[in-house]
Amino acid sequence: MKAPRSFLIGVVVGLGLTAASSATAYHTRFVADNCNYAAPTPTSYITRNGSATVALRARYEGYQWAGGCWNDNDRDDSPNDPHEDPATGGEGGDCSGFTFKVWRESLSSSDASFQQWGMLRYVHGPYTSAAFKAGTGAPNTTVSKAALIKMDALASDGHIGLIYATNPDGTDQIIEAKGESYGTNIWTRTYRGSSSYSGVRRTGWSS
Amino acid sequence: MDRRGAPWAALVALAVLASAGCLSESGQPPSHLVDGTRARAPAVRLDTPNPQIITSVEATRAKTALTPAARECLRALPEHEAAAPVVVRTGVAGLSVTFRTVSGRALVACDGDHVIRADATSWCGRAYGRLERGRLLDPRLDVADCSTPAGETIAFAWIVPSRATAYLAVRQDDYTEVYPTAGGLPVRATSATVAPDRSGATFEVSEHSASGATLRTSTIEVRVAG
Repeated sequence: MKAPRSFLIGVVVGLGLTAASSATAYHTRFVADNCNYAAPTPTSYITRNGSATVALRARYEGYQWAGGCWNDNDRDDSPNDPHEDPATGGEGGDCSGFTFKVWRESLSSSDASFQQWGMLRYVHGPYTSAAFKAGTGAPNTTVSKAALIKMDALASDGHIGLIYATNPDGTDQIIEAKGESYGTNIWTRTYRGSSSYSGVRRTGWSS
Repeated sequence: MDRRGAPWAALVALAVLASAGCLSESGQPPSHLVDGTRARAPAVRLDTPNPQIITSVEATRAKTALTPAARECLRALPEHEAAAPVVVRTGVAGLSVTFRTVSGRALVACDGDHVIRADATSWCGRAYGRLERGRLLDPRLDVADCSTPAGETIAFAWIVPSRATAYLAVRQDDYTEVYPTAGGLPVRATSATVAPDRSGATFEVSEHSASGATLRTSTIEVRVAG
């Protein structure tokens, strides 16, 4: 009777090890198969509505830690990859990579010029959400939360989201790369009322 | 432009670089740390390339005994209540303050690239790393705004040493920077090997026992995230 029990334990342990192993080895081919490293196109101006259009093309796409490459097919092409793993090669930006691209910023933090990155350009940019929160870099500045308008951002040390619209009750519709389980979308948020969040603005909007 | 001023400007620039300890002449190690103190070799010779420079570290357990840099960092980040210890590291190109939050759910850092005076540090970056059951999920690379006096980007990231590690060494261009482990916290190290196009940096790391023996070596590629 002992042999079948140890066999069963062995199978259970084996399955557990297999699951653990595949979790750590999870990779998708999205970046390898779809993304590029093309140079950005400099543009002379940006508008808030134009950047909202850029942001909306990422809506319903995925989320990738340290990522910044997505298509526009309205689904996550690499769902459920492990959290906070930059090597999983999945679709989407993370919160700060998404902001960098939508705000059309440069890879150099001393450069405030406008750079149009293709959706499938794999790029994150030099800023974490904490850096955005501090207004780090030539294109970024902190502003009071009361002054924030469309396509400005609310940033904490661990997250950043862009204001898509403001609701009558004082909450905001935030377009953000939220997390691996959620992807990129618009959600109603109370970031503006949270002491963890500060107001951040991309400088130089034309309108 | 007055061209007669150019040689003087160059001399002044060289003097500034030398005083900051970042000028490496023909393979000579930097003479000073970023706070102006003299650079020294570690007391224990490590099994890693020479020249070796030991960074200074202070791990403060009592909030009443915090160093000026630690106090300033905590003042700059009032939303994060610090749990002891608070670890202040001073290296050749950068200094940092690291602490765990009282909740135990995050690690926080201030990154600096120069010291204005003894009681004033200019923070050029900050980092917030989530801890999951005590494990740091991401090294929180910071390449946004910290640079040497010559304008070269300095990358900061946390490196988690093994339990047996007494010294963590990071290979720089002309020398090896040695960090004593302290306070049971990850080591906030710097690297000059930055790749802006991929928003990343490389840390050539070796870990050593208290006697200097090599425990493990690794090349750590890190990326800006979150």
